[in-house]
Amino acid sequence: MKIKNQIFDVTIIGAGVTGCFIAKELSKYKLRVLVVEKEPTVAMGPTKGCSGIIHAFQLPFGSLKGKLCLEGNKLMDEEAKELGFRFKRVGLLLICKSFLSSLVARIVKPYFSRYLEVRYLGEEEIKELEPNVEAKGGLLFPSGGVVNPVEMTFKAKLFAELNGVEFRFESKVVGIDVIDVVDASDIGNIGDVSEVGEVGGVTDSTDAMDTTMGTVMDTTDTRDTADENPYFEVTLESEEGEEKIISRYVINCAGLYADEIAAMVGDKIKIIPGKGSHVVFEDKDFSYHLIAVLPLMPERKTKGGGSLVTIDGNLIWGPNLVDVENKEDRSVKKEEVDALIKKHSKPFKKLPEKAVSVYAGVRAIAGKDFIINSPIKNFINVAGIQSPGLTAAPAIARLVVRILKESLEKKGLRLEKKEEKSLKLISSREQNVEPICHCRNVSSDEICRIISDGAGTLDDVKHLTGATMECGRCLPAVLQIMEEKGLPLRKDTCKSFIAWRD
Amino acid sequence: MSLKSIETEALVVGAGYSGVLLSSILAERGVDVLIAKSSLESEIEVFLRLEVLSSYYSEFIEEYRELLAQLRPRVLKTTILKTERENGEETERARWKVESPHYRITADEVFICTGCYDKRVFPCGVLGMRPAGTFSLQNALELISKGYRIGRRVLLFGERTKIFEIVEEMLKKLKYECEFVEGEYAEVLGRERVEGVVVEGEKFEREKFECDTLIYFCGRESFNPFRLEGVKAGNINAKTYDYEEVRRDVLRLKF
Repeated sequence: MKIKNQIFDVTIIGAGVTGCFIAKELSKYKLRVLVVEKEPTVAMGPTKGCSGIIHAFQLPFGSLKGKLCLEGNKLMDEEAKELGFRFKRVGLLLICKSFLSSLVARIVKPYFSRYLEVRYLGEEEIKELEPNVEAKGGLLFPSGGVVNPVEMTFKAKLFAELNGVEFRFESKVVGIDVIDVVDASDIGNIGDVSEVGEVGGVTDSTDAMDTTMGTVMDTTDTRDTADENPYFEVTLESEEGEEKIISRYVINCAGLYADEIAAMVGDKIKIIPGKGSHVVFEDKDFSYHLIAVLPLMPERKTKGGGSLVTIDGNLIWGPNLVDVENKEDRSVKKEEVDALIKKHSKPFKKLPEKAVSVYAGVRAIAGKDFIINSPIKNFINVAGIQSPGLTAAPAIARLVVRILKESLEKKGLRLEKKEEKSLKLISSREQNVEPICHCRNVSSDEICRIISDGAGTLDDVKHLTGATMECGRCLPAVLQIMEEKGLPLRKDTCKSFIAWRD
Repeated sequence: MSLKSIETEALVVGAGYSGVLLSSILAERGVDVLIAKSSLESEIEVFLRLEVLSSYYSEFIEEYRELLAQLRPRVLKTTILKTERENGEETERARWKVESPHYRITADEVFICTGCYDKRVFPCGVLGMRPAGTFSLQNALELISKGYRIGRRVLLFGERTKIFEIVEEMLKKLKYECEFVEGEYAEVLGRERVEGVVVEGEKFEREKFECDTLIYFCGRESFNPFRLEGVKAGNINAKTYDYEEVRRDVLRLKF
């Protein structure tokens, strides 16, 4: 076994938005980081199926998700700039349909003001902002925004990769064993510094020159037992068979499957899948904000969805919350569509013209709040990251770095920053290029570029360029480009081809 | 990169059957006409690579080829992004300013012959999962015409129209297992690949069909994503696979 290349400081399980943002943040330090993902590309689980909303807030403010949502929202401008993804603060508008409700809005406004910017708007002001909305009043939260969740995650992955993080796709974690590394000579074997030292490695804070112990070890730790300072042997399963890697830390960002991963180290979490369906309309300039009706009584489990806009300006209504048995059940039912349309029509005078598509995502719900904890030493759960997980992702990543830092400091180690490389950002769309996707004006060059950046499936190409998203006519042309670039013609799922040649 | 300026009496946007037919009529009348052909293939180009369809549409294909050959010098390979009256004037006398990635064209008249496309999943009542193996009729035809196989066992779902009959025949010749069902809603099953479709319709409440591929068709819509202005002609109005109708729409134009 090529064990030398199989030793990591941190292994992140799952390449959704949480895993990729943690990877991105950790890539700024001298660490050898691995991300393991069972699917062929990033953002394949809850990330892709979400609404793309950067929430202004999450109630209750005192909860972990409430705090991380506010922090993540504030960090989003900086992240968008650093990683080069599109982010628009379109604003959240909670509208009041009745006088009573507008009274409630005025009563609760000072409470919200303690945490974030909010304005009360009268009937006329709302008419000016949203001519198609009929309301007695409303609360405007200007910090609410939208992103393309796949683009956001993909850019975080590119940054992490550029800064040395390794990604293994189509590799499923099938076992995690705590191993005992008590003898310094063992460690000498596994962590050959001359190889891994270049990538980074945690170094002893008292003696940075002492590198003989390798990436993952230091002198003070050598007498620890597994209990005190466990190492993990993580078994990965891929098409090539099984392989084992060794990691000092494991971070569980496995989304819907975080319970299975936690169980591998004896921790009990229950992840309940909660499907959220959306209806996508072709209408543009239908409305300009994230719009929801201010509930007199907050809904128990969700924020209730709303009339949303995408980063490309399309209208989306949703999501709802439907309990499903199967974690992969992303099927949208006719009754759901009818219910969504009925519910979200309420604020509007004129209804949208053309529903063109529906999609669903499955939330990973683990009780009321996020679970970010360390059930056993050196193993960190980042689980139950349902809404507002997309918003919170940058804040979660920083929290995990802090947890890691503290854990290392207890061992007398220091997490050191390294010189980071910045992503080359393509500032604007190229001019004078013939489009192949006319609806979103995407050229074949753009598709080729995203493929050389690492797009691996049709879904990547679709979500990252917008091609095929609207009328769908350019699908054959896009598949042809993918084929010419040597990509398998696959959707997000692992094995099935969209089309093939005999 | 500098843009090339061109002046013409008539600009026809789209080099499918409608665009080519219209351009040849104009050229015959001595009008100075240019045709803009985008990188998207026209339907006729797709049909002529498909055995059963090329014989069904042979009349139109022959006509298209002949006319296109004659018009070759007048074809500009570029995508028209914008058409507007000069100085923003609404009057019919104002000339047109036309933009493409490589040209700035001034034209006395602009004809929009950008054709149409098949309605998408939701308007066709296709719901459920979104695994690999779900195609609009148009995409299925284009992929097959390019030499791809798109599945083994195909369910054709939607409105009973002539085109579906021809496609069914074609698919059978190409050794696909093939079945047609008329219905209002189709719920797709399967995670990675289509594993079946549950159809609801007038004739039956819910019935499950075993298949690995779904081709849906429930009518067509105008294809004009850049919202180009000008005189619309051909399949952009007719919205059909019936090329007699497309021809009639072009010929109804009076000059």
